[in-house]
Parts: sequence; C-alpha cells; structure tokens
Amino acid sequence: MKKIVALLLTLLMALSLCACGEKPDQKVTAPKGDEKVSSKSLDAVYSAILPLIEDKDIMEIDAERITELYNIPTEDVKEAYIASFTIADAAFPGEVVLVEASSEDKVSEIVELLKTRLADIKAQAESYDPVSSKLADECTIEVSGTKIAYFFADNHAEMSELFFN
Amino acid sequence: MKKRIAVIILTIVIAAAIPITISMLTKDLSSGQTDKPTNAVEKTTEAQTTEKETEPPKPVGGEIDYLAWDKAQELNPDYFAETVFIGDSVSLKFKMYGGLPGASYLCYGSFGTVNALAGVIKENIWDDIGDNKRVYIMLGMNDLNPAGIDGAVANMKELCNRILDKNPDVLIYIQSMTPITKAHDGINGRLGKKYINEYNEKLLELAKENNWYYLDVASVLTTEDGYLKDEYCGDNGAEGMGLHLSNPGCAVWCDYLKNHCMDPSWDIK
Repeated sequence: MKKIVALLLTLLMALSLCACGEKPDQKVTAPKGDEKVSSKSLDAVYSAILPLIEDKDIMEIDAERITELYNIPTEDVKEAYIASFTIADAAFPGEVVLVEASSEDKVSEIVELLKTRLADIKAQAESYDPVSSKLADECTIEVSGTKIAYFFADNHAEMSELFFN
Repeated sequence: MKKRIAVIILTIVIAAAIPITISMLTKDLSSGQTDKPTNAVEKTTEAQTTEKETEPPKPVGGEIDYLAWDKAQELNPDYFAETVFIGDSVSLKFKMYGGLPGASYLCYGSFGTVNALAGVIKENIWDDIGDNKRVYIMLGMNDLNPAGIDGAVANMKELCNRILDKNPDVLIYIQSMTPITKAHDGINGRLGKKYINEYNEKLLELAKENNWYYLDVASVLTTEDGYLKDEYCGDNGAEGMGLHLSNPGCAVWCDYLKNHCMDPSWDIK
C-alpha cells in the first residue's frame, strides 16, 4: 500500500514538472543571451532596407496610419516606419513595418497584432495566391528589446539580417 | 520509520506542487487567446440627428455627371471620411495606397459576393458599415468563375440589398471591376476581357435599375484595346493574375474617384 501511494505521489510530482515547460513561439524571433541584438536605430535600419525595395514600386507610408493598417494604437508606439512595395506575381503587397514600442509591456501586444496580419494573409491568399501564401508561412516577426520588425517580402531574410546587424 | 519519513516528505512536496501546477496550466490556457482586431468600422465623427419629415432624395441610377473633387470638397470635405470601401485583394492594395482622406475599408483577399453572402472570409459584412453614408463596392474577380456573369450580378444585387436592409440610409456606389492585362487574358477561366466587360455592362444596368451609382473605374486603367495597362499592373508576371494594381494604377484609380463624386442631397444646377 505504501509503495502504491509513493508511486502515485511520484507520478504527480513528475506531472507538475511537465506543466512548467513553455512552447517556443515559431513566428517570433527573439534574441536570447548575447545573440542577435539590434543595436541600430530604427531610422538606420529603415535606411539600410530601402535600397532593397526602391525599384519595386515602393510607397513610403505615414507612420500615423499604423492604427488604420495594423490596428496598433499610436499611443503604444514610440517610433515607426512603414513601407509597401510590389512583390512579383503576388496579389498582396510587400510590407516593411519597423516599430519601437512605447514600453516593454506593449511589445507582446504589437507582436500579436502583426502575427494576426500574417495569419490573415495566409488565410486569404491560400486559395489563389501561392506566392503570398508561401511568404506568409516563411516570414517571421523579429524582436529586439522594444524594437519590432515585420517584413512581408521575398527577401525577408536579408531584411532581418539588416535589422540585427 | 525511514520509509514513513520519506512518504511524509514526498507528500509535502507534492502538496506544494499541485497548486503551482494548476496555476501554470490555467495561465497557459488563458494566454493562448488573443484578441483579434475586429473588422468592424469604427467612426468617431459626431452624430448629427435630424428628423426626417420627408423622404431623402434618391440618386439617379447608373453613370451621371459627377462632380470633380474641388467642387465636391466645398460641398462636403468629409465625403470620403463618410465612405466605406468593400472589396477584394485589388482594393486591399488600394487601401494600402491610402489616397482618399479618412476612407474606411472592409477588404479581404479572395473576397467576392459569393463569399460575402455565404459568410466566408467575412461574416455579415452588412453589419459593419458603421455610420458611413456611402458604400463603394468593387467585387467580381473571385465571382466570375464560381458564379458566372449573371450569377455574379445577381449576387451583387443581393449583397447591396442586404446592406440596404441593414443600413437603409446608405448610398450604394458600384465600381466596375478592374481590367486584366493582355498577357493574362482568358488564362484563368472567365477572368478575361470579354467576360469582365460584359460583367461591367450588366453592373451598370443593375445600378440604373436600382438607382445606385455606377463608377467606371476600368475606363481610366485600360489601353486602347481594353486591357489593363502594363504599368498599372502589379502582378503581370507568369505566376501573377494580371489584375492587381501597382501604385501608379492606384493613383489613377484614386484620381478618378476623387473627380467622380456625387450625393443626391447636393443641389446641383
């Protein structure tokens, strides 16, 4: 009897240890330790990225439109840069969104809104726009402190490198 | 004795672990939910209530002599701030372009009248007009293949009537479907010049019959032989559809709409 009780208690303890684990968020790349930190200003990152899209029918968008386009409240944003451009053969326009959150506790909310943006593109593009649908699977949201980057682009990896380096 | 002590220690540890486990599991379940931003149009303009002693003047249906923007602005500087655009991925790009001050958008990729009436992609879009006074609609590229021309036109009529049932005071402005490039003509079923033109002609008739406005956006986007100009197309490559607009295309569309404004309350002589 005592052995059975001891075994049950051990199993319960093992279960409690399992509940402490967290699943990694695959859509967000956040630096851990001393890996990948963005030390550049958003303005510098934006200036570095512009040459990658300036021949793609680029349109720079007023940061005030961040609420209209992404549902991100302006009071949650310290600084933002937005641009849209054409992705070859895609129905959805390419997007560059760089945001510095007004505080650390606003970062996760902004990230969630941008993840929703990607999920919407995926859902809406799936039936007729394979280019956008594929990109919606590949693109990730980058985070470094209070700086957030969203690149919906076929060269998003290159843009991410510029964000972190 | 030793066994008893071991059991007692284990019991204490487990008793401490259970509430921690419960709180961790509860946190995981609740943190997985995010508030999706709603697609409802929110307006903060002040409401003006007027008592309607007489019926409001009905618009003349179809294409009419519209007013250019400089005159329209004098009559109503908030014209587009009181307007909501319903559309598909073509209009999504137009939204991003953002050339109409204060306009609202209910636009979704792969949207059409088929989806709208079936509640796919967006349910009950007629519930989200808000306090907008004008509804500009451009749909068709996702309807011609599943519904055919007559089916798509019938759907458009049904959609407009549902919008009006829910919002009896709004004005309906049907925009023609945008044209297709020559390179993509007829590659994808009914997405071709012949069908698009016929669809647009029937939309004009629909507008006339129902006293809805009709805006021939296609007229400013086409070549002499009726195709979407290459420079106005954003997806003219082999894998594209030849229907979505570039920024220059959006600029021309925007300019057309600004210079084709009308409201039945305007006393124009």
